[in-house]
Amino acid sequence: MPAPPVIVVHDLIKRFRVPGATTTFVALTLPSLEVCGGEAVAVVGPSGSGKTTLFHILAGLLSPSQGEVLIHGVSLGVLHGKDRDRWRARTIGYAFQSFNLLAAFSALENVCLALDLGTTVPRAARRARARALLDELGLGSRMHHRPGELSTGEQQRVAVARALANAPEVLLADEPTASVDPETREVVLSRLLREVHISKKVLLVATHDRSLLTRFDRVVHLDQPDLPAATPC
Amino acid sequence: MLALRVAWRNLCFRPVLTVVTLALLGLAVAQATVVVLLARAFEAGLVRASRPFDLLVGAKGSPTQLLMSTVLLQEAPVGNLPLAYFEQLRHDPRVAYAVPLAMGDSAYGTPLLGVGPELLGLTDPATGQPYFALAQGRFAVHAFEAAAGAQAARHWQLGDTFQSHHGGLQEAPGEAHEAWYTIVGILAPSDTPWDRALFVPLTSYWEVHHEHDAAEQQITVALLRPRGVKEFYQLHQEINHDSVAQAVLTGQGMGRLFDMLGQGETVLRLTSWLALAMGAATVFLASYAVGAQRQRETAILRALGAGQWSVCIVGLAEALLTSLVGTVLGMATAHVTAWYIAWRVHDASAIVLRPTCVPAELGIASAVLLLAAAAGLLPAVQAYRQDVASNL
Repeated sequence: MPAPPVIVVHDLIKRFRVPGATTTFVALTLPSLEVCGGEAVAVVGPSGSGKTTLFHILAGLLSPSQGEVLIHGVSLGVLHGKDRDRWRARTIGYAFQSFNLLAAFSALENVCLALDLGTTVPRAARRARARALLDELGLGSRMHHRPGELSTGEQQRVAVARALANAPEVLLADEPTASVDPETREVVLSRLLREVHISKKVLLVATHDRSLLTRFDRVVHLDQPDLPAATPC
Repeated sequence: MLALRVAWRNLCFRPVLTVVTLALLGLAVAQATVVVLLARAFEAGLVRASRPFDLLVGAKGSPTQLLMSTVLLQEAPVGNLPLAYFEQLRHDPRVAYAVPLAMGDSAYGTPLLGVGPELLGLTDPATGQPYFALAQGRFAVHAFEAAAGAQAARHWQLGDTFQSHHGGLQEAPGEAHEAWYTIVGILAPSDTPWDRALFVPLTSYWEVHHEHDAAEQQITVALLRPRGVKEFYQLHQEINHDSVAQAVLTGQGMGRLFDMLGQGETVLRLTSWLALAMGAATVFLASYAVGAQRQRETAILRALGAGQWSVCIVGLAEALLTSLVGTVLGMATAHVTAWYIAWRVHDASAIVLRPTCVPAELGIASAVLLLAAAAGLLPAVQAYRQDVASNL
């Protein structure tokens, strides 16, 4: 019997109010999406097609205007306040397009912060995990530097390390290889895919890089929302 | 804990803003605290300085001048009284103890007090301990001997000789008297301004002023200790009633002095509260100046799973940490400053000020923390209510 999908999306629509007006515009339309454990999905579409909006909704940072999102069978609509914060810290790993690192913290501390919020393991173990991740991503010698002292590519790798820190069920990566050189891109992508294939997590990567699409199990086109997506579960 | 760590890191990340805020807040706290510390210390110091003197009797004139010139050695004496008048007071059955005092001369800026050995018999009624005691040598009882107060002994040693001058404290010294005094004793500290005086026999004082006959001899002040409270007020009333002299209750006079100082203190207190309010405003501005950075940081923390209350506390914690460190620095500065001022005051007047911790400091610290909490409230509320996604 196939395993139930980790992510289930029904009739998702997100509208935003037009600034200074009473009208709204539709930022995202996604009739359905199912993603199974161990599946890596590329989310593609032109700028403005709603990739980041979809990721924000999946991370529980935005509420849909219409439709429903279930993760592990739990509707995000029923999670509120502390429950949603706790759920997000433990379930979601999100590498943002603009990295969103805390400027006052070192690379190591930025990664530790996700661990502090998402796990209850001892502090030494959290630090060891953060160090190991940064080492894996080639930042062993830069982990005590603050974001302002790191290159764009290095900041992006710190963001990926932070997303991986809690070994979350759902990994969301918004253009995770956009600012890195080809070799680093391979390191970052391989690390993300390894997490999916070995630990049976779910990975959604928003990308404009068509050359990467063959590395994913499936591609979701947000500009063609009616295109049925195969579900391998 | 997380909120405190983030707040602390943020403060360290903006060193210039943090240091300037701490400096301004610290100075405001220091000003408010110094005023409180010194007000209490001055009051206690003046009370301590006036303990040996119960009832001062001097020539008619300003009571404040009599008090200031006798107890604090700060003003010119009011005038003189005939020795016979003093003898009459001394033999009054209501007087338990009387010390005659001649003033008005100095030696190289050091006040010279003509006094009898009765001074050493002036004791604290509560403990029986003498207010003035010898530390070295003997008291000046023979002609042209002198004893130095504890602070005057910094400049005068046993065996030193000197000539006295008329005046010389508030005005330029007159021509030196012919006679030479020799230091034969040094007094132990009495915690009164008299520690900076030189004590000579009354007879020598008269000698240099050519007051050889008893009819010519004068004193400046009589220090009286009445036998009881009733006698105390009787003497005070009677002396003030006649036309020869005035009597000043030292405690009452000091009270008037405190009232005068209190008016200045009130002004300083108001200024201090204004400074504290400005310090709190600085904390608010420092919190508000980093609004955009804080919005982004709040959004990141929320995206990582921090709760609304956690990010709210970060905003508050920054303001409270700043105010806590500012208060500690300010109070430390205040204590150092107050002790420095106390040292300078002691050096100049021999009044001993001990600016130790006072309960009002807790009030200042609480007020600063409350003001800082108020200053941090707006950023905290903004963080609590902030939309996450739009700031990522």
